[in-house]
Amino acid sequence: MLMIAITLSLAAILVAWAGTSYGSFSSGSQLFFVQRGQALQERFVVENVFFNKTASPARLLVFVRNAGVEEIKIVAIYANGTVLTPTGSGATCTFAGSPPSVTLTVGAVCEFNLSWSPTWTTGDIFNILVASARGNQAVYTSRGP
Amino acid sequence: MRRADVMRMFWARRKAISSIIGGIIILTLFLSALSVMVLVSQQYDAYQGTVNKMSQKDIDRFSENLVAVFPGLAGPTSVTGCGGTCNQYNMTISNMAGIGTQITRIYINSTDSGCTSICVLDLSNTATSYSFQTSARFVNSGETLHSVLIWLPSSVLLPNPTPPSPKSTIYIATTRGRVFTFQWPFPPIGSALGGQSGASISAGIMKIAYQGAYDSKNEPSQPNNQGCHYEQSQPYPAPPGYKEVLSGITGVTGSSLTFVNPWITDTILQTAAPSSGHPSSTLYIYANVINTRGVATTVTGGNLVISAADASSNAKQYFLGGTLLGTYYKGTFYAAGTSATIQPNDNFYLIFIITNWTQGINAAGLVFTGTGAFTNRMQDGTYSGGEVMLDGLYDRTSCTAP
Repeated sequence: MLMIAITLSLAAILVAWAGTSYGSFSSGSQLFFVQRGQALQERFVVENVFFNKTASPARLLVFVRNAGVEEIKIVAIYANGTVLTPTGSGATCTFAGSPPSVTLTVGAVCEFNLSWSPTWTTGDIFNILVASARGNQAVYTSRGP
Repeated sequence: MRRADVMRMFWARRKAISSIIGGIIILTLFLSALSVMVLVSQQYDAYQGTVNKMSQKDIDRFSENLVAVFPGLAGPTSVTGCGGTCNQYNMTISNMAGIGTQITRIYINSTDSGCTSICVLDLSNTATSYSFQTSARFVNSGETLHSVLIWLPSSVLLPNPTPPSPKSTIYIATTRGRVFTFQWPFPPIGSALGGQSGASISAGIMKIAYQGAYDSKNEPSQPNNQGCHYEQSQPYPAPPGYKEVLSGITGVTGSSLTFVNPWITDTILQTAAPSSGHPSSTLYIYANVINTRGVATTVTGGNLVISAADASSNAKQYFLGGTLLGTYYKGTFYAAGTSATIQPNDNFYLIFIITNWTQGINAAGLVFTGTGAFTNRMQDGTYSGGEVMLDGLYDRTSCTAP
């Protein structure tokens, strides 16, 4: 009788542990695949970068298009490793919220107006990187006019 | 013995009960694990389906291949729209891919005029400012010479495509996220266009201006209707077919010269020739030149020798000689002796003042020597010969308004 009781107790513990483990594994994998799937479906590109040297301070206009099948959140823009925050008139998109971000619907395009000071010298190389909340990046390399 | 009796017997004996319970537990765990694995497999399959779908989209994306076809852009033509009139350009492209493409936006960036601040063109069904034709956005696979109409405001005039020195970059963005670019006008390939001199400076078109008894500024109302130039006047840089006004030129009347297409009446030609006894008009010729050296260069001096046909298109009936008055570069005049630094692939004008003139096919011994590093020698530019340099400096005996 004692052995039966011990066996039943251990069995209950084992089943509880297994259920929890299987459940967390199942939900974790589901979450992983869903998030990976969404990240995988993100496609955004830097269509163009215009260097406005006559403005004071000099400005970069960065055009980013959501060419994927998922809505995306742009959370950061870097130029040569420096984080730039979109400001200024003419921009169709500015960062908002906390943490700051811009939401791009499918097929939408954003014009980010970025200030760059001091101005660049003709021929300077710019590596512009746009990062999304899901960890994807779009990179654009250009030479300053 | 019935099954219930067997179970009752096992229970009464207390034998193998734990084994039975353990077996049931193991079986339960196995089945639970199996169901979880099935669930995870389904999720993985769904994910793999997404991977495949996006891979196919990437393949489609990288299969796109739009190519601009010479001349890239044609125009402008003036059309109704844009709150008045639009400058309409016709862009010609070919889809060299095996997949259809949809254009979603066009960017134009010019270096000289027009779209110096980038022009962003979106879809439009009608002629509106900064737009392109909606119905032309689909380019079928393998479709060649696809025409896309582009509309800019009348105040936005893209730089003059003559000579073919690239001044505008056109970016064609597709819905799949590709961007195709081309330069307009198309850059010269090797020495095919305009020829390439030893100095690696290629000459394009030439135009003429004259001041004095006859003044190209006043065309077409010259005395005795000798001018017959009916071009409309435009400041530098003027599109083809216009009179081009260059301002800020020292050493000329009124600090400006009005250049017209390169033909001239015999009357004006003779009065421009000091040796003819009628030095009442001064003749100027500019050559539109491209620096094809790949490095910046300067022009410090030079001269011009050119032949011209007569009214019957007989070549070498006139010989004109001139010295360099100066260089006209990006809207600024640099007198001969001063140096303008011409950047690679930039075009500029060499303005010559005609100082010598002779007539006759046996004008041997006519030698003009210039001072400076650059000598631009242009000969045999006849009306009918189709020469690259001066296409026609000829005696036009009759002319009518266009």
